[in-house]
Parts: sequence; C-alpha cells; structure tokens
Amino acid sequence: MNPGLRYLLGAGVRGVWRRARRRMRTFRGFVSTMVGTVFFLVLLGSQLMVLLVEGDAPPPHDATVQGFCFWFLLLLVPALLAADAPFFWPQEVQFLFAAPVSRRELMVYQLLSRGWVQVLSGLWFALLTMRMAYHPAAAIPAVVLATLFLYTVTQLAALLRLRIGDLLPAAAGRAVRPLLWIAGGALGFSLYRDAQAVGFGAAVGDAFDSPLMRAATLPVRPFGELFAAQTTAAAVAWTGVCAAMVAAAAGGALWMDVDFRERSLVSSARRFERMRRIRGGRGGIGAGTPKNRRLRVPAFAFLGSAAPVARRQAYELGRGLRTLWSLALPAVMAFVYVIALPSWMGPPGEDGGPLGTSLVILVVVFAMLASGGFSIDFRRDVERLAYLRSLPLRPGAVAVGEVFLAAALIGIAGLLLLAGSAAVMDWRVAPRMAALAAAIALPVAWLSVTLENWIFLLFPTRVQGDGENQSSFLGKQLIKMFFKLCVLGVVAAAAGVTAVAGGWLAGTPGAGAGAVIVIVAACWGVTLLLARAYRGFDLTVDTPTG
Amino acid sequence: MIEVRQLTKRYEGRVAVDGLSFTVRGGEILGLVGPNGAGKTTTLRAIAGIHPPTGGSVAIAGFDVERQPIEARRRLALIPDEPQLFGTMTVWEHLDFTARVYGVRDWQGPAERLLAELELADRRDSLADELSKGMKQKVAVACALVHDPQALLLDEPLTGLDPRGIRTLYDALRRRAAGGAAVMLSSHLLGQIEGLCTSFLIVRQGRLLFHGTRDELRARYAEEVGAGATLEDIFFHVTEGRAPAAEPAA
Repeated sequence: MNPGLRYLLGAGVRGVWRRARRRMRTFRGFVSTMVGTVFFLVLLGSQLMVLLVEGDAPPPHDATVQGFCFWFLLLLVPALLAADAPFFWPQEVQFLFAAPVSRRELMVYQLLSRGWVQVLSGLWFALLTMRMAYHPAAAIPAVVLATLFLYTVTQLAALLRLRIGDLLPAAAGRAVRPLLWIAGGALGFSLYRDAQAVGFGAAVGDAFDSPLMRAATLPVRPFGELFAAQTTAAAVAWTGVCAAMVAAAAGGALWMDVDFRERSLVSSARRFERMRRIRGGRGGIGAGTPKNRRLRVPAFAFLGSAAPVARRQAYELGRGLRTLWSLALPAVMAFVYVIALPSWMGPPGEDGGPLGTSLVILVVVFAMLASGGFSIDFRRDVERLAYLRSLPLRPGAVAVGEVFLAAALIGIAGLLLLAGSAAVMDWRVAPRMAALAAAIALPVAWLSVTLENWIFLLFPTRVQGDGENQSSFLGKQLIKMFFKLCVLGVVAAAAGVTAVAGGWLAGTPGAGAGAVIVIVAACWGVTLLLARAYRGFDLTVDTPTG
Repeated sequence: MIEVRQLTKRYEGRVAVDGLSFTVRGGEILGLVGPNGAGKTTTLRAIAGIHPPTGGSVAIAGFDVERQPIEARRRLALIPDEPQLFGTMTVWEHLDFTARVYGVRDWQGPAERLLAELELADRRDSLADELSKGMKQKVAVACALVHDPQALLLDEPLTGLDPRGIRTLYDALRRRAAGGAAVMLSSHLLGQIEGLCTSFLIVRQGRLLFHGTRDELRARYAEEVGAGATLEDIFFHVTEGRAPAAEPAA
C-alpha cells in the first residue's frame, strides 16, 4: 500500500481526536461533549444493569435468528439498491485521484478508512441490541461483523453495478427499480389478504416464518446464528464464518479492478453537495435534484409576517418532492415498532381489545423520528442565514416561517399514519384514545420540529469530510431523541396535571381547556427559544465562508 | 512534456472535448481559455488521468496516462479550482502526506523553501480548518510542487487569491517553468494571465480554436481586432464566433 495512504489513515484517526479536543475549548463544545459522555455512560450502565439483574427466560433461538436476519435484510436491501460508485470526500478526490496510486490501493484505503467507523457504529448498535441476544457477548461480534459486511458488500455491489452497467443496455438498469416496487407491493398485498383471514399479528408471524422469507434471509443467516449463539463454540464458529464473509466481500471489491475514479468523482461530488444541503448529516433520500416545474403555493396569509418564509419553503419542497420520501421510513418504523410487532408477539391491542394508548405512542414516536430527517427548515437553510438575517423580519417570524411547513406536514403525515394503522387493524380502536392521538398530532409535530431546530442552531452540524460525522452521528441522534422525549414527557405531564385540576374545577370542558392551554404555551415557549437561538446564531463561527 | 493527441471525451452522448491535439513543452506556460462549458476542466482532468478519454491519447514526459498511469502521475500535479484540504491536518502534515504519496525522499528542505516562497512559513503548524481560502489555495499549490512535477496543471488557480497571493503564485510558476516544467492553467481572468502565459489554447465546445504563442495570437488576429488588442478582445472575437476557427499554429 502506498505510504501516503497509510499516513492518511493514521491522520484520519488523529483528526477525530484533534477535533474533539478543539471542540472542548468552547463552552458549547464542552457542554455537548459532556452531555454525550454522560449519556453514553448512562446507556452503557443501564444495559449492563439490566443484563445483571434481569432473570427472564432467554429468547427462543429460531425467532432470534429470524428476527435479526429480517432487520439486517431491511438495512441490506436498500443499501444494495442504492449502491453507487465508491464515495470519496472532496479532499481525497483532490489529493488521491491524480496521484500515483493504483485503483486497488485506493479501494484498500476506502475499505480501511471507512471500516473503523463502521466498527464504531457496530459497537453502538451492539450496545443497544445485546439484551436481545442469548449471550450478550455474542451480540458484539455479530453486530460489528454485520455492520462491516453491510459496508463491504455494498462496495462490492457498487463495483459490480459499474461493471455490469457498462455491458447492459440502460433500459435494463431502469427496469430494476419498478420491478422491485411491484414485488414489494405484491408482498404487502399478500400480507394484507392474510391479515383479513387470520388477523394482522398471525399474518406477520406467518410471513416471518414463510419459506420465502427464510430463503431471502439465508445469505445473512450466519450473522443471525452468531447473534443467537447459545454456546461459546457456536459463537466462535459463527464468528469465523461471518468474518470470512466480510473478508470475501472485501476481497471481491479489491479483486474487481473496475475503473471507478471518474464515476466516483461525479457521484461523490453530488453526494457531498447533498450532504451539505441537508447539513444534518442524514444524506440519501432527503434531497433530490430540484425539478423546474410551475407551482401554485398557498399564501399562508394566516402566518402574518412569517408567511413569505413559509412560502419559500413550500416552493422548494414543491420542486423537490422526493424530500417527502424521508417521511416514509419513520412511518414504517413507527408502525412496525408500535403496532405490528406488539400485535404479532401478543394479542392485538391492549388486553386483546381495540388499539388505545398505542395510537398516542404511534403519533409521538413518528413525530420524533420524522423530525430528525425531514429537514425543510433551518437545517436546510443554514447557508442562507445571512440572507434571512438581512430581511426586515422579527426573529420569531423567521422561526415560525422556517418550521411551519415541516411541522404541518409531519402532523398531517402522523394523522394519515393513524388512520392507516386503524384501517389495518379493522378499525378496532378506542374512540377516546384515537381522538386524543389525532388531537395531539399537530402540537407534537410542532414541538418535535422546533426542538430539533433549536438543538441544531445551538449545536450546528457541519459536514467536515473526514468521517467524524458518521462516527458520532448515531450518538447525536440518540441524545436528541432522548432530549425530545424528556421535553414531550414534561409537557404531557404538565398538561395531564392541569387537565386533572381543570376537571376538578370545571368538569370535562375545564380539563380540555387546561390541557390545551399548557400545550399551546409549550409550543409558544419552544418557538420563542428557537427565535432566540436564531438571533444568537453566530454566522462567523457557525457558517464560516473561508 | 505534455503531449495530447486527438483527445476526445464524451459524456452520455455529449461531446465535452472534441479531438484536441497540442503539446506543452518544458519551460512553457500555456493558458487554456474558453467560455463556460468549453471543456477546460475536462481537458485538465483527462490529462491528469482522472477522466479516461473516449478517444486519443495523453502522455506526460513520455508516459501514456492510460497505459502507464502510475509513472505518468508521478510526474504531474493537478491543482483544482476549489482547494480542498484535510481540516484536521496541519500545513506541514499536508506536505508530509503528499511527499509520501509521491515517494519523495528528503522532502523537508524543499518543503521549508516552498513554505517560505509561498509566504506560508508562519502557518506551518496551523490546521487547514484555520486557514482562509487564499491560504488553502497556497497550501494546495505547495503540495502540488513538493514532488517537483514535470507537468503542472492548474484549474482556475487565481480564485480566492489576493493580489499579493497572485503575484507569489506567478513567481512560483515562472520559477518552475524556468526549471523545465510544463505548466498549463485555465482561467477566466484573461487580463491576469495575459502577462504570465507564454502560449495560449483557446477552446469552445470542446474544439480547438487557436493554439500558439502570445505573439502568434496577436499576429493572427491583428488585422481583425487591431494591433493593440488585449487577450480579452481577441478572446471575445474568437469565441463569440466573429473569427473563423484557426488552424493550430503549433
């Protein structure tokens, strides 16, 4: 391997420490690092405590294997479908593409420089999932190797795609995605038909154990077997198999000497630009190429001076409707976690009855997840803050205009998800809880989006280009999620107490009025905090122009 | 030093570079000029071996960029328009890294001299994140020069540089050319490069409109735009279609 590439690998690791040290020099950086560290220790401690204290029966082997494989497949299939030419940061393109470095050396560098970040991410996931394994220790190699396999096999798929793409007619490549959509639709319909006959939970269980699903998960079964290993010998043996699979995928990527440089240059530039645009670091489906189409956008006159800012967001959304896809994944995740899995694993609804509290949880979980990735607000406009500052608008108006559309759309999507979930469960819902879930959909969405923006303006995420973002990404997401959950919990508790007090004083109308007042006050207060953070955002520090 | 023969590059049916042929000899500073979308960046990247050509060939110091890529790249350096540095590496570490990539031994002395030449000596231990855009451009130039390339390619190198930075860069380029390097740079700032370049290559839509020395350029269009015309006058005359496409002079 070229000595310069070895040096760069070391510099990448050193860079993470340097950036962490530099961050500690500012008050804001110190606070965020301390919060992150405390959060990590609490999470680690709680996982260890549960492992030490919990005396539950170990999970059944086959269900654990199949469950792990199913989730792994859910991550693997989209990654393989989206596999593009290997990604290089702009600095790497500048220094390495015209340098005397062979394509194979570049690929080795790619795999190693990203590999250690994958290992860190894998350790994070392992920490979160180890409670579900028979032997918690087996979860660590299982999840780490699965994460590494996901990365290496995606690189291999990208190179294969480049090679095959050159041989196949363009129409063949274009046909793959629609065919997959049709297959997915057919599977969904078949599940729906089964659910009509035997109930949703049983239908999901049947699908999980079906020969088709077993065949689909077969290639990743060794990782499931390792995760569910019940003896040390089994764990060691499956670790060997999984490591060999990772090595084979990496070896394949190195052996296939495809000329990826030119396509990497183009796709990496496009991907980096996308990362910059959405800043929050999620990348992927959130930002497509804008379409030049004629649009009719509502005036949002009821927003007063915030209307022009909200309208601008609507124009931008209208010209990039692909952004709406970033609501699909949180919707699926919320539905699976809150409705489908409990329904499959136990009797439908609560105590075998209609869905009640689950609907409220569904709305909250969806808003919390969706607000993280659906960033048509300050996070997308961070490059334009100087312009926004030049407008004759109060900070409060800018804050409302920036978050309005995102909050409204997440709220509406939450209502649609609520209706969809009720429909899937044959409308077996508790009317009062369903009404409560519908009533809180918009305020919860507003609170989630506003808090997300508030945290962003206080601790802006910058796309740096050395992998640090990925390594700390999951941690930041967890901390944000935890913080949002705490705030929503406090607001819910305050609304509950006020409702009880109001009910005691003036019956049901008093309870309702009390809860509404608290929720509106919370939305108002968080919006004021956001406006304050916007006013205090230091453009010279947070968006340096160089 | 840089030999380009019938270089053609097509992207999805669109011709970006259309049969360009020219040579840049050691000691020559060639200005590659043309309107937006003329194929300047593609040409420079094809010469650097980043874009494999659809047709034709490129050789650096006699080494074919396609068939002997490592040997060819060892002898060239490409400086892009937007300097991209590793944010958490210092200026000195960038030079160290580049020297290792190109296999340069005893690079410390020349690197010290380069830093002094580009007025970066006092920023030696600064992280790249702490530098201004102009400083970053100078670091990119220093990294490109540390292995003493025989062919130097610069894509819009004046972006972000202040007048002092431009003069410093010019001096550095002239010294490299005087030392025998072939220098090729693209720029929109025609007035700025007029005095630096010894020859010019004018392209439009990937096609060569003119290639020759500064004197040949003036002589070729003196009758049409006047003897005292600037490069800018000639550029507009040639690229906006008022002049017929000329045969290469060299």
